[in-house]
Amino acid sequence: MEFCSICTASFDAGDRLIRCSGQSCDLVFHQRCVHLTEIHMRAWLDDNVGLFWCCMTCRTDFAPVARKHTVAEGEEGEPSAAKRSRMDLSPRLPPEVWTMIFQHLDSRWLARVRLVCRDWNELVTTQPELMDRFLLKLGTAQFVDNLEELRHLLALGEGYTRAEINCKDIGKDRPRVAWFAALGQSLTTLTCRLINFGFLYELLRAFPNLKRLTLTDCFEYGKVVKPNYELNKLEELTIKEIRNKKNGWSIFSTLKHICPRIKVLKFGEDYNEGYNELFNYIHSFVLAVAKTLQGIKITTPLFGLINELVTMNDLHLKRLTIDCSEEDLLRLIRRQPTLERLHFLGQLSNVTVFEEIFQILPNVKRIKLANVNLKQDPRSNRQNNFARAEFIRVRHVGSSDCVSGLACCLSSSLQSLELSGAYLPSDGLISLPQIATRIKSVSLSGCKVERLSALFAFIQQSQSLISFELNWLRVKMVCQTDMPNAASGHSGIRHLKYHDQSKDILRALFELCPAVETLDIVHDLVKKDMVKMGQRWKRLRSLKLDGYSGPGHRLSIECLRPIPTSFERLTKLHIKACVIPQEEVEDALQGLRKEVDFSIQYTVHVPPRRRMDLQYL
Amino acid sequence: MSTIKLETSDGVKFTVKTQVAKCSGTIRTMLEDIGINPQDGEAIPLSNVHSTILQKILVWAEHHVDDPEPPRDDADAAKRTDDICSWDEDFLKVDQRTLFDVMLAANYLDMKQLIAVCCKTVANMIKGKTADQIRKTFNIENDFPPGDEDKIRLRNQFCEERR
Repeated sequence: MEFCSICTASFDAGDRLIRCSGQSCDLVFHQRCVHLTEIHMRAWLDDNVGLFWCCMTCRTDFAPVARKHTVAEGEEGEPSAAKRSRMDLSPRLPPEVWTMIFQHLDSRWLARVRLVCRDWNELVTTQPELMDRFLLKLGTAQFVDNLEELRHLLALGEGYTRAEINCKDIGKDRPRVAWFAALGQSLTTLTCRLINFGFLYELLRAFPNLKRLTLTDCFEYGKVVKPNYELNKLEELTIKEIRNKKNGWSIFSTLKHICPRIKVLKFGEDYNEGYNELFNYIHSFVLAVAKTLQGIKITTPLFGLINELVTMNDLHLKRLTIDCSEEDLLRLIRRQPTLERLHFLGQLSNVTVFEEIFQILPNVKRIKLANVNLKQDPRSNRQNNFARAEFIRVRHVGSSDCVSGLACCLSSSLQSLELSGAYLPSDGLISLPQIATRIKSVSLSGCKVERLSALFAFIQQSQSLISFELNWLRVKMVCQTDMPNAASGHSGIRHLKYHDQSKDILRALFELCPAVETLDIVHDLVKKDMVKMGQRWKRLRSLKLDGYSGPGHRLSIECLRPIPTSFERLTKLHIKACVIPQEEVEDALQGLRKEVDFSIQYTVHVPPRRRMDLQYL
Repeated sequence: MSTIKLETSDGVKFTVKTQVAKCSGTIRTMLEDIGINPQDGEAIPLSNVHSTILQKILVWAEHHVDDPEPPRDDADAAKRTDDICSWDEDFLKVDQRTLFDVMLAANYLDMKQLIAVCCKTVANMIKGKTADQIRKTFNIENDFPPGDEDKIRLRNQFCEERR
């Protein structure tokens, strides 16, 4: 009778016995006790070599050259050298651990992982949360130019959870609904562009497990058969821009019947007329799904909708994005204590409303205010009700002081703060680190500071800060003595984004932030800056440079030359909006280590301007 | 300060501060739910962990014993791998076999933060490599039947997101 050396129990019928292959060990174990999974067993036992496995003690003095070969299940004979080396060093991690590792990879690397071996491909394709990172694109012109090819692709559906269908590229002939069968069960997220509602209703029947549906630029054309099925799992519905407005809006009255359990509704379009019809459609949709609805994002200002939402007793919102007047907003959120995320697009000018927003929501995590222009400075006394928000973004226009106002109602739960266009007086800025003691990430865009010394003091005192972003800073009072005193402490900032032309601030950041690991910089760099960077930021792993940041601001080839020798830990280098020919760049970067992932982008990207002044109806 | 004893698979006994040992979810459950009394002087058997690995893990636990609970992040997005602190980075500069042993032991001991940091380290070993290089790194044989690899590559092509 033999006993397992780990759990000391005997072997029942059906238990697989694993014998240590160590030279004079001979211990036996249960398969489960040594964490050998079926995948391992299959991989080893199917070939004619058998299992080679060492217990912990034998493994430590295991020498591949001198080992004596033993076989677990009575198989004899010398294995081929190739097979032996595979067994000796095979990864011994169980699949669940590999899955945990893969969770840290995005689709680009997961695509490589799938190519490694059958087991890994299976591990990825059977995990919906990993497959969520792939987006299957149907109808992208570069791939699909005939239906036969599309059909072939659809038949290979296997496990994909997200798909995007662009009907514009698919052409005149429609694909058959039956072709989507292979995708049917696994698909949870679908995005459709330029789709006809008639075809959409046919198509949706094939996807019973759909959770998220996004429709962009869709239209109703010809005779549409209204569907008679329900999509019970559909939770999130996003509709952007309907082509033929008045007919097209009827999609709301159809969808409220086929997806009665919607949790999130997102809608936004620019429109000029038909306000009443649109309002009625959306109102009756919200009314029909109010019981399950948890999130609303309506970027189109529908003025009367708030009145209706306030009176709905069934409504318990967790997320809200809305454009309305500030008084209406306050009326609504007073009745929605469950709110976790608030994004307000309307204009906010009343100080009392501003302060109340931060204080009345007990469960709030994220607050974004898109258009703040306070008419007066907030009260400077600290309130008793502190904001519990972890993330705050304020887009501020106007010259009043919103930082001191924020500082009045913030608490240590704040982790991330984004301010744009705000005026930052020294007192407010310096008081922030004492209140937001756990803040990890700060972003300042187009802000104006009173004095630079306050900004440097803020960086030095925010000990928890990891990520810092600075875009186009303006300074009210420029003073030569404002340079930081490095002796009074360093910052732990590891991720830095610096889009600014100030040499002084860059020089100060060299002094203050020795731990920078990733850098995204748009700045008139000269060779000297680059050399300094190499001396100062030894831990730099990722570097993003900008080739052309405006007329007269182009990256010089001289700046690139120090890169190969300066950064020992560099693994990623990217040059965006490059204006230097590729050969010259490659010549300048000669000697760059092979491990560095290097890429150049040649198109100049101009971000679309956001429309700011909305006319209220 | 209270201590408890742990016994590894090779019979080595460690005396550990209770607070440090409680970094392990498995030991915490044993102490709190099952009610093993550490004062008895009896060692808790850790039959899946070798003494060399446990020693390494205890060094890690000792260093991270006062760390706050990590915030729960969104499971959907690819988790970041560039936030390993430099102490951990140095700690995990070991050969692959030891790294895997630490991971297995951390998995058995249910030490979420240690597993996470190990996973990030291995994920960083995968990033930036071709499939062939990944196979070489982890000594994996390409067992795809001829043609299958190309099929997957074709499917991957339809998923490439523009960067």
